[in-house]
Amino acid sequence: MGGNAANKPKLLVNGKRVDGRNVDDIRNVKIVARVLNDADGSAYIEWGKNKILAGVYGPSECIPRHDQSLYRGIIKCRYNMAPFSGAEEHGRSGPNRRSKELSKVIREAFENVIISENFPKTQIEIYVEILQSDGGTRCAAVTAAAVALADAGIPMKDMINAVAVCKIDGKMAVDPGKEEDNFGDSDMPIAYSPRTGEILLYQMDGLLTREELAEGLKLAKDASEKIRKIQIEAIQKVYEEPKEERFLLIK
Amino acid sequence: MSESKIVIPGELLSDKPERISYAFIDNGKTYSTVVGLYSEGKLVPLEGPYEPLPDDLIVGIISEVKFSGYSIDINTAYPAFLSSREIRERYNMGDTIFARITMIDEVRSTEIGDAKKLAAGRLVKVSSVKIPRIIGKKNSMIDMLQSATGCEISAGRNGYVWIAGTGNATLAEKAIRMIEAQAHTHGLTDRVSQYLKANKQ
Amino acid sequence: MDTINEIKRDTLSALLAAGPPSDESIELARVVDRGIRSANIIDLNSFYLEEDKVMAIYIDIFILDHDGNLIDASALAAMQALLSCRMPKVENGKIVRGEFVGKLPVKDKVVTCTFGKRGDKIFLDPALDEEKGMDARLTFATTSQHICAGQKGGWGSFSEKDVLELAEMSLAKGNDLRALLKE
Repeated sequence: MGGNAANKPKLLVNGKRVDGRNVDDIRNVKIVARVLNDADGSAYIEWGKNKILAGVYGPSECIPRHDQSLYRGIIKCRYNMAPFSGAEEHGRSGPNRRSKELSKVIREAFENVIISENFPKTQIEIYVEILQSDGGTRCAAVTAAAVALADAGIPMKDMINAVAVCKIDGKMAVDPGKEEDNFGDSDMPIAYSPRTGEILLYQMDGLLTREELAEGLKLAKDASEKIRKIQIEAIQKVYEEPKEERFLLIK
Repeated sequence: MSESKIVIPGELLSDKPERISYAFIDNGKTYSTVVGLYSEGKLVPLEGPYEPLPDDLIVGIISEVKFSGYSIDINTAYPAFLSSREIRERYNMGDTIFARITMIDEVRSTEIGDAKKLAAGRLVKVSSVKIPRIIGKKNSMIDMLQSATGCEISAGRNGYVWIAGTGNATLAEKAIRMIEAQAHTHGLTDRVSQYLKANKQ
Repeated sequence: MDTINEIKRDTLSALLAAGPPSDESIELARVVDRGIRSANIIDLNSFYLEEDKVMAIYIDIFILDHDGNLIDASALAAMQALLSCRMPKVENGKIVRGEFVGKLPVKDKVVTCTFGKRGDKIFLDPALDEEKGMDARLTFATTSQHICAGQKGGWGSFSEKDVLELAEMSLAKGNDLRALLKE
């Protein structure tokens, strides 16, 4: 976020964004569930040009022992950007402070909905690998991980998802791409529990007035409902088109 | 028979608080916790980890020989315990047994008994929620598999299926995988029957 | 460019807590950093020395005693440090060590307000006991006019209404905190 004011590109021209979208259009999102053999649950998401793989393990033995709780399963989460994800030039790939922060806020979102009391002394691991990054990876990561958890049969109160909003050329817009992320005036990723409408992940930077904040929240909520439909389709497809092998379909 | 519907975690099942397995109640309404088939007040998960219940019949593998008994891998996060006092024979690491869950305590430690050693064979690990379909009503499916392949098949409620004997174990395994993938569909028994007939040597 | 690092002293021992920074520590540093950075209160163009050479500010936060809500305390301390920061004298594209020309030009004051939540009760500025018992926290960084950063932590949740109300309150309460800062 930032960019020098002098050479900032124009992000909104006649109501159209750099990729031709309107301010309330999300990018193309595709989700495939059950794609990995080793993980207990998995999902692959293409969100715009983002490509993200989520794998879930558990409940399994909690290692190290001293992490375990007698009352519930411990949720662990690792958000990681692969070296070829395209974030290299920002020095962002591999485990670093940003990844650790994102791993934490994503884990906390899932801690809200996973019914971990059913599995004392165990751990549930969520891995999200960013294979290709194009802005909004943490939202796509949450969205894919939720599908992977459902695929694994981990009991949850809800299948959550996330979407971000931004401010570009003074207007609030939903689902920023990489350019809008880098040169926009605000970035606000939000994860929702659709069942209750409650917010489980919330971050924001930039400069917003209270009115812009309210508008952004509304745009995000509407987009979240669209994302949810795509998640549900991915789950239904597992059962409509049962496969004995798990693989990633390359179209 | 009313159509069953695939539901997802968080989906509303009823506007009233109802006691349904794998569902939870919030603010007087009932919601699903899993991806499952829901019909007439009953929710059957389509996936999920094995959660042991007393009297479950399971297939286990000896994972550790201890002083007073054995640690048994029963496809859960932690192994179950089989006391030496429960059995007459001696087991070795890697032996496979068919046994019954006798006790589960408050912290989910599991004990098993009534163990019987299984003959040499191979393990097929399936999602435990599919086992009832692999067994079938009154053992109909598993009997069909055994007679078509000539194998002795022990299906543990924990998702471990043991195929022993001198029959066509590979065919048995393929058929089991087919049932696992299509467990939620109609007409499966016929399709499995045809598959077995077509591939019998 | 400025970077914020937080070093936490274990209050139960005289030694500095060893080891790599914890998740909480990293989050705190990044949230405080974002608040100050987003508000663009420092004209970073003034840090230019010559080609390929710029000045940088590093902010290190030492926590001597922890009594809850380190985010707001750290942010306030960081902001006060920035306000009292002197600009080094620059000659021929080089810093002249030990000589200063005035203060770091700061356009506005950024402060944070953190709210704790337990069940459906929300409280501003959690003390240590409250922090240990809370389900979630929501922090907003504000300038005198805008909301410039936000972060939710913990496993609990907030409604949309909560978010708007707390942002509103942060703008108001933020002014109380801003009044405490000395130029």
